[in-house]
Amino acid sequence: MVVKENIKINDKDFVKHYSDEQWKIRKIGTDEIYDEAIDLPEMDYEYEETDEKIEEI
Amino acid sequence: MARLRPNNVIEGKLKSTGYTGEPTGTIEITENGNYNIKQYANASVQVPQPSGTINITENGAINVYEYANATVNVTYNETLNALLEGTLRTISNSEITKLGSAVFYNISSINYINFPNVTSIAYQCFRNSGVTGFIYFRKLTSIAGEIFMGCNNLTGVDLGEITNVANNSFNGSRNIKTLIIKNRASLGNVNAFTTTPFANGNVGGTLYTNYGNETWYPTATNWVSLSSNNQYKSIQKNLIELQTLGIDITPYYEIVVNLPTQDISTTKVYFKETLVENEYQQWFYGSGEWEQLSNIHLGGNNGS
Repeated sequence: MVVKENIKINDKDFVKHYSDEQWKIRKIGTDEIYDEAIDLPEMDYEYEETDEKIEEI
Repeated sequence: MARLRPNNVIEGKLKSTGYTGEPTGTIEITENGNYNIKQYANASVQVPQPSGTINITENGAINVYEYANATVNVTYNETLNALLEGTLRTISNSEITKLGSAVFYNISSINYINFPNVTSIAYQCFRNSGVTGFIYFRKLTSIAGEIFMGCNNLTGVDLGEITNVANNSFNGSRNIKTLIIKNRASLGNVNAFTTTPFANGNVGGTLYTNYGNETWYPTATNWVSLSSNNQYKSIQKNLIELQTLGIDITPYYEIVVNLPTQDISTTKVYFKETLVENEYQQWFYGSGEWEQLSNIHLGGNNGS
């Protein structure tokens, strides 16, 4: 499941999307793949899980 | 153990002490001079303190260590997969187009690399290595994760034409301040810049790009979360002016700075590289005079 959270970085507001099962996520309507995606709130992007796991360090 | 004399050439695979098809062995080089080593697999090359040139010409898992002033030219068909260890200081090759995984992992001694025709770099290629200063990969189209993770001597990279900055690419590289990415590139995760100036609001980093829409990076996914001190700029090559000045245009960029939060202001800055004898220098021109960014003394006799 893709989790959506409101976060702050350096006192600025952002929206963070990530998979709760460590899948990479795809920005819907694009071919952009992310481990996690942090955006400006007004962008209102949506994400879906892929079938690719995030590599671990 | 094969012991080489200067100008010896080893051809043919080393005698196997392992299993068939994967020969192993040790080549010991004890005198200064030029050496050519061909067709090896899991050989170790021991070079105590020679100066000279070592040419290695085929794929394999090799260990090159214990040499001081030698210049090592590793010439593969196209891919460098060797895992190099020890005191390697400089490496330069214009034939290699692919760098394999972890080739320079933990090589703290290396300070100068030059692979001008590399198009792809695999996982952890330079992780925790001593690569120093600004590195140019102008033909690069793809990178895997963690390639420059923990490279504290690295100050900048030209990432060529990549379209994705892979996960953890620069994580922990505390002095990386300048990136050049020709086109639009997504950022896989914000950990790519953890503990770098790009993620430090008191320092900031600079991304140069000639991607046509200069407002894309400052609002793009993950890029937007980096330090508010970041400046996103655009590059355009202006070859005409440099050619008019009679300057070799190859190592130059003209950078037109378009700060997205201001009216367009134009500043012309240039990079150049010089190599005089064994002194490799990087220069920056942005305020009326050339400023030296780095000076690296190259080992070996030919300094290439």
